[in-house]
Amino acid sequence: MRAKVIVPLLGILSLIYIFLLPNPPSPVILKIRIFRLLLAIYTGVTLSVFGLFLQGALNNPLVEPYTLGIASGAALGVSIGILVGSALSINILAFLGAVTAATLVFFLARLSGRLLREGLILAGIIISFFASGVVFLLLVLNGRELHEIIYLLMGYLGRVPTRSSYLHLSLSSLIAGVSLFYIFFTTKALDIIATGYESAHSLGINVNRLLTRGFIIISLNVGLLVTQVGVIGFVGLIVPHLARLLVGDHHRPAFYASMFIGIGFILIADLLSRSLTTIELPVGVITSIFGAPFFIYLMIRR
Amino acid sequence: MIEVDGLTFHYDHSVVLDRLTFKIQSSEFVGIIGPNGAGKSTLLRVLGGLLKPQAGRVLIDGKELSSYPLGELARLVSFIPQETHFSLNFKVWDVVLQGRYPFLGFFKIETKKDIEAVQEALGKTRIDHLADKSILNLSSGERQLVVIARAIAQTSRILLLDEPTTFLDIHHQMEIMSLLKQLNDEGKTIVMVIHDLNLAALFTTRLILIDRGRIVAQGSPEEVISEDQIERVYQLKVTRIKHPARRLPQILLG
Repeated sequence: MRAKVIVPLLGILSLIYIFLLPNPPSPVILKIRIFRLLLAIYTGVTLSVFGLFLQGALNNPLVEPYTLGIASGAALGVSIGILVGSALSINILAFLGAVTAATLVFFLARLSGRLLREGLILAGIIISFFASGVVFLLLVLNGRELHEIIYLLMGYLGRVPTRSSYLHLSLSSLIAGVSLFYIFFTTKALDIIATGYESAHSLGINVNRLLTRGFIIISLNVGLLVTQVGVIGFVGLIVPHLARLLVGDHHRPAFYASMFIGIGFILIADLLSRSLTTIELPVGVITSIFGAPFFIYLMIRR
Repeated sequence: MIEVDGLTFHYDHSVVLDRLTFKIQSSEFVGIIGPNGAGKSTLLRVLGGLLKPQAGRVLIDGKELSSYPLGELARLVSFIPQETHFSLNFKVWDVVLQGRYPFLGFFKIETKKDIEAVQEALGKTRIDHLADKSILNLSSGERQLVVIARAIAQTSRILLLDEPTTFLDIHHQMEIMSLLKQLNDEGKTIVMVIHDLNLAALFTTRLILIDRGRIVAQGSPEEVISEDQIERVYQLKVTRIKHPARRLPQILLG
């Protein structure tokens, strides 16, 4: 019943997104905006669903895909590549950085001798800070060449599409689709994990295996995502909370809800980023600035 | 049947369980007793497959515990922790239904058989009336019953419980113990860690007394709960009396 309301609502939102704001487009602009819409849908769905999975699997309502050090790794990969004068494209550098950081986080978590679920969060935060530190150091030392990194750090949907970016988006959407399928089948297990890891184990759930697979899947996807839209914070954190507020705490309904709310959230944030000021703001700035107070409101309401 | 042979478990350099050997027959009701830090909870977690021992073997029905796939083990053994924290807002029915997870197929959809198992578990624990209530609004006694109902729905033959009565008032303590006794009469093997020696003496068929990772005594409550044995292990003066109605040993402090 809710789907009957939500789907047309998202349709209308998409039409506004393409045709109306900030002003009606010419055919060329239309093409750009349709690509942008597709990119927004891809971003909203993946970040939100992965956020839901991580919050459930780590039994921690404060994690999101970017907590795991992946984004900072991407930024570091790009900055090093640019400074060294690498022949690789920015996309590939970002992807390599993201995957390297994720691998590092994973092995650090295993090495720490802690439980994987605690180790991942801790190692993710450590690698994030470290990578961001190095990026800022490079920025300070070589300010001029690195303006591209700033865009990457803030998240931006409005790149002009080329043939290769269509290819890139379709390939990563395909991978995301398969990944979502996997996440979908873990939702019942996530419900049980919410009642404790020992209970989950006793009910036949191999939590470490679930976390390892989930982590690999998310690293790969977010690595691909970061190369296309940069870091868009807060979406993966807030949307799962909104979804649970709307449809309850069970992970299966929250999975559907996260997808739809994720799309709506990104579309609205991007509309705002295009129409609030005369210059276009990076959408990551909007999600963070509007997301934080909104999250505080949710926290107090609960 | 559970067979434990030369079981040793240690964290880094501190030995927690030191070459334990014992057997638990099917449909026994075994209490594991001993002072804090004796290794009781660790032992229970090893039996539940939650911790892996460094040496020794645990056999369940003649087969090595670690050789069971996790899903198969879940249909055989269920573990109930001391306290279960619920952070999400689930209905009692849904939590009990989680006990059916090891039986679900690839698409994880419950069948009529699963629903019946839940109804039966709610009936046995006498919490049918709570089925639609949120787990967050229950007292700790009611919550413990829900967790036991979930384990009943799991239909495993072996129930492992870690001090299930510690945080409960005497009414709920007796309620939980009587329920476990009933499940034991119906054929379940029950192994529980328990601090309350008097409660343990009233309900268990056998006690295993552990101190510093070793078995000090095992046998019927009559045999294990003796004044000098309890005084030695707990380093405390006690007086043993006979329960006037139940003819079982009870301990008075001092």
